Amino acid sequence: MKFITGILLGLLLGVAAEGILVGAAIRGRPIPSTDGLAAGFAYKQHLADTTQGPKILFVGGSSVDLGISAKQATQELGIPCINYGFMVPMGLDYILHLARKAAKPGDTVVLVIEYNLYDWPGHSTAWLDPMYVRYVSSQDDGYLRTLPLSDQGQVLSHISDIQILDALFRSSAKNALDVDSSGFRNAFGDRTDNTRKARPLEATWRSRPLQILKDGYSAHPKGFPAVRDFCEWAKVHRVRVIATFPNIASNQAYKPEMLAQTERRLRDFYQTLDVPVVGSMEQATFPQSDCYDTLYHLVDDAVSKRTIALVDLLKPALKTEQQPE
Amino acid sequence: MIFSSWQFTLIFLPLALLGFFVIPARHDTARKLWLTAASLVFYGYWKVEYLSLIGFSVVINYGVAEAMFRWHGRPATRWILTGGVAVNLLLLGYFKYADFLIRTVNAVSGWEVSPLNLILPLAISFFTFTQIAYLGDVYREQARHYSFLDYSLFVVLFPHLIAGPIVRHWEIIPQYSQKTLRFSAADFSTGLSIFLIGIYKKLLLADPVSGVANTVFDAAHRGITLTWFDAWFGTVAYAMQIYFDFSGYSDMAIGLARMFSIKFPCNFNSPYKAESIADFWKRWHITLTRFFREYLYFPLGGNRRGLIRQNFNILLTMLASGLWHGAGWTFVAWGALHGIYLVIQNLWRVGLDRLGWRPVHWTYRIAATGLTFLAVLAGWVLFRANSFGQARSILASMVGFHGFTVPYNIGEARLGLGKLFSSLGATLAPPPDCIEGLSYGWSIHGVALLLLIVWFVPNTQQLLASLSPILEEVRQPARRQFRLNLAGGLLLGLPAVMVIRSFMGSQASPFLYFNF
Repeated sequence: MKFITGILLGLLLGVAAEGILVGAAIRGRPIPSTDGLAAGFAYKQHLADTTQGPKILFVGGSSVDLGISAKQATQELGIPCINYGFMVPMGLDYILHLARKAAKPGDTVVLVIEYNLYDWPGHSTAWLDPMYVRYVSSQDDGYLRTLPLSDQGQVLSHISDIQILDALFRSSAKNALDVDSSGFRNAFGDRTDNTRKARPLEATWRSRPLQILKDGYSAHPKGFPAVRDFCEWAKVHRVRVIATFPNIASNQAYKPEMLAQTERRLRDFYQTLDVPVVGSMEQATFPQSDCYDTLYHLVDDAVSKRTIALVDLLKPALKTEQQPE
Repeated sequence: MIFSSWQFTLIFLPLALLGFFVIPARHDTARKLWLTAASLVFYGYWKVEYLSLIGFSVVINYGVAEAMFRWHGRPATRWILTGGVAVNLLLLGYFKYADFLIRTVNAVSGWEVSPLNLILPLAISFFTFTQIAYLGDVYREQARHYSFLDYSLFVVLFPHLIAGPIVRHWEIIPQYSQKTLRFSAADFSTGLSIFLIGIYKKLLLADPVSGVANTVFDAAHRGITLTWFDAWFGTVAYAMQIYFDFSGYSDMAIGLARMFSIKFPCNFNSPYKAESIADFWKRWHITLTRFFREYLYFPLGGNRRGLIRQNFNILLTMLASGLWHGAGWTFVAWGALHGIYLVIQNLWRVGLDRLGWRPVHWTYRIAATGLTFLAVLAGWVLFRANSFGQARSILASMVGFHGFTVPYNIGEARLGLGKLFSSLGATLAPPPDCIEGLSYGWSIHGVALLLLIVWFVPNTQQLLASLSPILEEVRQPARRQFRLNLAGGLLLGLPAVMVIRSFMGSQASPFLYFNF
């Protein structure tokens, strides 16, 4: 009996020690191995904060970061544009949170949400990506505090042992989850290292089909409600929202009827929100030879083609006057 | 269901235990039915369709054994045995080796026969061998006649069903057939201790190091030429992963059985402390080695027909062991390599005997342990590699054919390794020649710590020797014994928080031996 009592006592002590450790020493304590991501995010935020007058934010994951040229769009449209693309592992809620921080009344947000982000399952074990957990728990405690307590608990319980060691010993070791792109960005937030010349010869992620486009969306994806909340917030804050389809690599594994069903579902969804949708799924689909390293990332010349096409689609939509509140 | 998952630990196991001990001991048939049913639920949770396969296998083997009992002493029993073993091997061959055979025939002949793409039924290698051993014992009149329920429970008993130990009927059936079997707090506590040690090995030691091994071997698979350091680092990391994965699994299996007051035989006994390859195989997957020794090596003639025949028998047995581990030529080559190691060791031993030299000095033993570990490491490269090309590339990097190079960012480990290797003449490989995403921050410390554990820390049965954790007597018990008292509980309870965290995190990763 004493032995079992000891085990239970040990467990309680362990839980308490971990709670104190995470609460006092880990949470909100920046670790050097997330600095690369933090620098990239801060740079985009800085661009948004310092741009004068109405601007256009291209918002999404890395299909925007390495798929749309805000520089070229600025030149074509004559309106300051910022590449506000982050990374799919950061989750839709966080990407839209960053967009909310950057968008001001009179701005336009072009939502270029990756297909799998609509299927975002929320702060559940099924999703909680290590990159997100590592970044948010160490670098953005402010955001973490905005989440419901249960979600905060989920995030904190997913902190890895390596992060605990990094935080306790101030390790400056690089981490695979930290993407440092600070040396490859222009003044519009675009990534510039995705040149055709630098395209990796072998990258399995280019040809890997997206499960969503093969099997359709899950029963209750939380990405759609997150986008709805964002659009409602945008209306209140006089931020115009336009949606389009993300660029993606073509793949024979996709069945035309499933693609058509997905496109219809997205169009219907945005229609209920009164958000115009420009372009089509087909227009945003590129051969794998135009993809840089993953199915969402394009090489520079394809980015240029994609941007010109997108700008042509955006021009009429931008001319439409914003609905007054 | 995986032992280290919350579904197993928090739901299945408590229910299985509760049901077993709530049923009074006098109703032993009901108890056995409960445990058999629980074991089938455990198996069916993975794929309910394959319950019919294990059911068929149990019924057929029991029928074959019954027939042999009936015709004991007659020539017919030999044919019955041959038929029974053939059915077992055909079943195993169809599910495990059919595609391997098709791919090999296609490669040799240039044909394009479509593979069957069968899903390998979980545990098929284990329950097949368990039952072949039983048939062999019945044929040799070394088995008692058991009821169908006793036999079924022996085969499907969940603690050993998925990945061993490969238990023998005379070790297990008498234990759960005792009508006096009651819940024992001491057995439960001992079992829980062994189970917790096992789960810690799996979740806190094996799983974290798997990232390094996977990253390195995947890079080699993609055709990246590894630096000298990465090749060694990845291989040692894999050696640690498979060690703690299998050691953890074996502990958990032994601990689970003990909670039901059943003792299992020892299956893992600090194999990296082995002083020879033969010693390694007496310590690694002990019950599998025992199976091959008794049911293949001895029937082939063992060492009774001269040195040449003995070495041939060793090679054949190890080839079979390699093939048992996986349906692929790299596994066969791994088995052959170990066979060659054993033949060399056998010849070395014969040579020493003739010279009358019996080296026992500690320096010889340390050198022998080091050499054995290196030989095992080379084998693990073949074992883990997806192809011979990948294995060749890694081994070439390890022996320096691609230069004496270390990654440019090795300094992340803050151990002075960059300076150390530079002073030894190594060159720092630039980023394009290194594996993207391989972090050296804590992983080098981690792998080094694991090496220290495998070489210098007593193993589970040595630590718990006073609690008689296994069927056999524990040799060389640790000086400080683990006790079932408050301090012992505290010690085992503290890391449990990390297990709970892993339950909340990603899906439980399966044990490596589940693939075999």
